[in-house]
Amino acid sequence: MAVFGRALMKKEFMLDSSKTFLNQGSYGNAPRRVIECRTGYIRMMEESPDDYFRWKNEDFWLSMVQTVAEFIGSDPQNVVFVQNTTTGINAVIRSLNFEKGDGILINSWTYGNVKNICAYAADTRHVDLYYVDIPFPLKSVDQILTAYEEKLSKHQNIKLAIVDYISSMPPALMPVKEMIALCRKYDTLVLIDGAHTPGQLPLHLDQLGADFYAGNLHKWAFAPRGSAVLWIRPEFHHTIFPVVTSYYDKEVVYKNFFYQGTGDNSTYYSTAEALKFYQEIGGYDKISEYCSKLALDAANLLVKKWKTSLYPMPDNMLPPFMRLIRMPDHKWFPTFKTSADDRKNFCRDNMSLMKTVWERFQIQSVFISIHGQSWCRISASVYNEIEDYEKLADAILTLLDEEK
Amino acid sequence: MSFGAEIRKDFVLDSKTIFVNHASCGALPLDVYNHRLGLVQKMESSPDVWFRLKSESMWKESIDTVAEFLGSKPSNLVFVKSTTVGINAVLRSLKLGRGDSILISSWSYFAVKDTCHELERQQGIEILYVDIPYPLKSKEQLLELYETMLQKHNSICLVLLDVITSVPPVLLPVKQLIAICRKYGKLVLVDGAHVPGHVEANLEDLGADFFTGNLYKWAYAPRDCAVLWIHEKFHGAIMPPVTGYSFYGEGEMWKNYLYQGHGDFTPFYSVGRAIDFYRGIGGREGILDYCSSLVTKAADLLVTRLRTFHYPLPDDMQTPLMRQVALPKLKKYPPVIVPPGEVKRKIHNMMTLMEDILNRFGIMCACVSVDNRAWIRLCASVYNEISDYEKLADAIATLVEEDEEIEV
Repeated sequence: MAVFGRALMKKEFMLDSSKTFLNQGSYGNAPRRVIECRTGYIRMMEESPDDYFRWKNEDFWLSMVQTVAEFIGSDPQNVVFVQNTTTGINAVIRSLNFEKGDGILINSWTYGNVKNICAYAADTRHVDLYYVDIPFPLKSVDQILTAYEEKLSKHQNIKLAIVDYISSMPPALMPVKEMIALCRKYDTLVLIDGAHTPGQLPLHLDQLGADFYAGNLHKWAFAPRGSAVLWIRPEFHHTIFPVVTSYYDKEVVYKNFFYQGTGDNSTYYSTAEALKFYQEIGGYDKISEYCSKLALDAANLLVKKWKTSLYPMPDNMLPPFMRLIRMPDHKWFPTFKTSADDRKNFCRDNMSLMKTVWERFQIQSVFISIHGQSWCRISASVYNEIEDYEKLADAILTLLDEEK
Repeated sequence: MSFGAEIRKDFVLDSKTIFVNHASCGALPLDVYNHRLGLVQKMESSPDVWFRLKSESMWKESIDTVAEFLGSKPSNLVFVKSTTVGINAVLRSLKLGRGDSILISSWSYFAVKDTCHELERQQGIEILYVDIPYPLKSKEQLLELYETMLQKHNSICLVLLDVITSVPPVLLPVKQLIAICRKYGKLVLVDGAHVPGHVEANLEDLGADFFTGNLYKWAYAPRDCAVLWIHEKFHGAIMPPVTGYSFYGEGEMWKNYLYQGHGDFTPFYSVGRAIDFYRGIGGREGILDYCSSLVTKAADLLVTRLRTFHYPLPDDMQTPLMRQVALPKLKKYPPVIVPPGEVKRKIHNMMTLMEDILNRFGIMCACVSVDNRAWIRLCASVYNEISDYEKLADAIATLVEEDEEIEV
């Protein structure tokens, strides 16, 4: 079993080991052996493309779906690969038959891309868009559930609710089971945005009770970028089509998603290698044990050193491997005045701070403005160790000193 | 420049197989392949920097390069993964519905037909076809067919035109067709899948509203690299099939296409290297000089050896780099008989025959069934030589011999 931390980074990952990476949550990072596996497929594809596309492609797909379906607790027939969660969510929304006056329900923490997808649907298909504004600070899970019940009972025209499993910003573990139950009560379809969940939480999608789920394998499950799943409840198998039609089969759902011209599916075909790595380094139990503890310790360290606090939310909503920490007050780098009312610009990257911290200290992390305040989102992955976060803490303190 | 066997080793293509089907999947030069892998390495060593700090400038730089290559203003051009994606982007963005029609043809690519029928199902758009006769006698005959359809059907909103069709491989009089469409006030979407690197492109002068074409076929880019050209007046309207960054009217058009969730866009950023390779081996002139005469010789060779005939086309409608030659009638590999008037599923791949030729003779060629007959669709690329086609002729001759033994 591999040792976690920087030793693992050097041994297995392609990340520049002289630098510090605290953002597995955004883009994911695949180990070298997985990237090499993917390169092998690209090579095969280029050595004999016709052979690959006409005779090998489909077998690879079916075999990979089998492997991944097991990992996410699903019957293989319910699963197709898509490029990323954004694409999967687009597929569902574009396929569902919305009539004028039908509603879609999201909330202020919904991922930016998803807000845009819904806004586009609202604009082009005369769908009504409803928001739950999640209060700041959030005192308890019940506040969310009450707000949802209120919206769903008041607006019976809501046809679809998009619910994060783990939201991106702020990073939070949502009360997904209770939210699904509420949606069921009001006859509302549920699409789970599970972008962050494969690898961070154990998944049992066939039992979850949702209608649709999309999640990335290239974040916490170590697959190459461009590798995600769309899970579709059986009664919707003939309803949901990919955003790009290449092959049109009314009967077999996977064929439409699988056959996307002579496109490169090599990212999907490397997922078995990624899951093999995941199991080899300890599987969910060991990875979760290490990363959860590291996220907790890192957050405590930063809060202590910066004399700030965590994003105010109930403890039972803290996601296993991510934390959002208040930045110490700083003048030099701009924070953007945004609020829950400003739905489109709910949160904004603080690009200049990210750039400075990278260029001066070789640390990659996420700095962001929400509620007119400045925050830092850290990820704890298998190649991180507590020293990484000490470096981050010190880097910011150094910048603050210089500010004076 | 030494083409044929000499340049073959500069491609990733498996050395054990003879490839005469460049048109379907393209072929990747080792130089471009390695360059692309180098970009992947950079991306993996520092992903935040790559995606947050470098992506936009790489995109813009690559767009500038390919815009110049295709005679396009950079501001009108975006990357998409393939022509099929480009076509989906346009058709799905135009708010067509019941009462509206789209005009395609019996020669339209199968994915285009499938996309149209999907939209027919979803949005109630009517799909109309120009049914191209066999044999097509002249350009004028084709132009007349289009004129008749457009006169007859006021409901047509958009015409989807090929520059070069895939099966049969035909060079269409696209400028004249566009002129007819304009006369009737119709929108024009040009399927230029085969254009980049094959025929001269000057997108600003084409006169279309939209154009989409692949860089990974004849322009040597890695797979998942194509472009969509959008006339300025539609910049706010045409959204990619995946909404990520924004919705229309907001921000710059190109950002909608760059920000579609996370993935590997290194094929886009390798396009400069591909175009360098293309120009380095002689550019369009040098390549066509070798390949055009080769494909002509190859087609003649097969017609002579197999005692069949060329797909009947007016001379001025032959493509530079592709030909179609009739196969002898084989009991073991019958063509698909399509009832007259059936336009949707007119063209079929002959998969079993292709598989047998590959596995038994080590030759990868496209065998198709169209107009109730089996054909070989030939391509000539820089790594081909006349001996490739001699071997193909031998292979088919063997199959013919064996077929004669088969009792009906």
